[in-house]
Amino acid sequence: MGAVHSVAAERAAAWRERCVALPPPVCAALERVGPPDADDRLRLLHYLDELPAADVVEDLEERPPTWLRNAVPEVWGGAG
Amino acid sequence: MPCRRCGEALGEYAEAHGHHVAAAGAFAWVALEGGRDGVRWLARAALAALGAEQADVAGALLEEARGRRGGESHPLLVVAQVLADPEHSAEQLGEALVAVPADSPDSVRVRVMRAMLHGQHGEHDQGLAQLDDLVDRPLAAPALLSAQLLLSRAVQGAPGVDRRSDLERAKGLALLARDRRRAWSGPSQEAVAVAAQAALLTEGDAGAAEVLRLGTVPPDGEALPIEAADAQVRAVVADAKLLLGETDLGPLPAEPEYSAALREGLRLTRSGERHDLVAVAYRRALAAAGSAEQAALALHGLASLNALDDCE
Repeated sequence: MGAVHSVAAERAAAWRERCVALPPPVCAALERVGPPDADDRLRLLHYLDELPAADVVEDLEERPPTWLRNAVPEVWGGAG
Repeated sequence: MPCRRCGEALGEYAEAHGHHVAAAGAFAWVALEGGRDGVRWLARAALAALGAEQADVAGALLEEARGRRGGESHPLLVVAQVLADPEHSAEQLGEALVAVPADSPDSVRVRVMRAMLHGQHGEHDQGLAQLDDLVDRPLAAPALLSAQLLLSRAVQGAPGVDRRSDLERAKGLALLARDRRRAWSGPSQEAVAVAAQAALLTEGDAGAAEVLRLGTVPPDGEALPIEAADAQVRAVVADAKLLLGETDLGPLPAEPEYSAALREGLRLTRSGERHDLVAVAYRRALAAAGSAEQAALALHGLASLNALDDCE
């Protein structure tokens, strides 16, 4: 029981540490992600980790993820 | 396909870094994914599109939102619709913002917008009151806006205002905002510019030395490269160097004619140049002045040279 608590506490601490390195609204949104989407959250965090912040936002404007580009083509001038 | 909350997070990430186009796209995607708060996300998307000066996109998003259940009356959508109207008045915007409930997920954003609106009309006290209890939260925007309002109140010199206290508080809050944005590699340069302006006005030469510390990179200062490279920060650092007697200011960022001419006048004065050359710079500043305060500063420079005779 104690070991389970310890693992949970470690994960919570690691998440808090990860969260403070993100803008607060981003952290809040990711905290609301439920278990079925945990893999997506990890993928998104990996994406944000991979690039410096300036490159991420440039990437979003120049080469938005396909799912985003296809859903809202008018924002990116119909690219997709 | 990423999760809906991940789309929200991506939009918030883009918006936090000032990339409104990407934010609009992500928020619109969240709305199109479904869910009962789709109107709110369309309103957020429209606000982001307006921030990117994409009025057509904002209009399309607002139309989509109005066609949805509850769309016409959603408080944030009403705010976005007012802002989308280029003819909107401050009263209309104020009424729309007041109508957003305090328990809305957008209440902090709306209070910051209300404070900005007060600030635009010189109502510093009302603006600060909007932000009073928000500066203790781990957010940068309320702290930075409070600092800007205090700085503006100190510069205007309203009766009964403790100017020195306002400048000290402005500097402290701006540095708080800087550190909060640095924590997530955010745009901390805006906060450094405000802190440096407050320092420059606070303590004379000591303040000027502090500006150099805030606005230059180590080992001389504590600025991050992105902060030291910011045009506003560089302009304040140049002013501080002038105050400290330095006349070699290095390359300066492009800036409005008025500021450039006034700084040139100060630099030439410090260098002991001929009065007729210095007066040329002050006359350029006078011609480009955009307010009575700016004109007064240029005239003060001319008066110090006894060169007011040919000024109407």
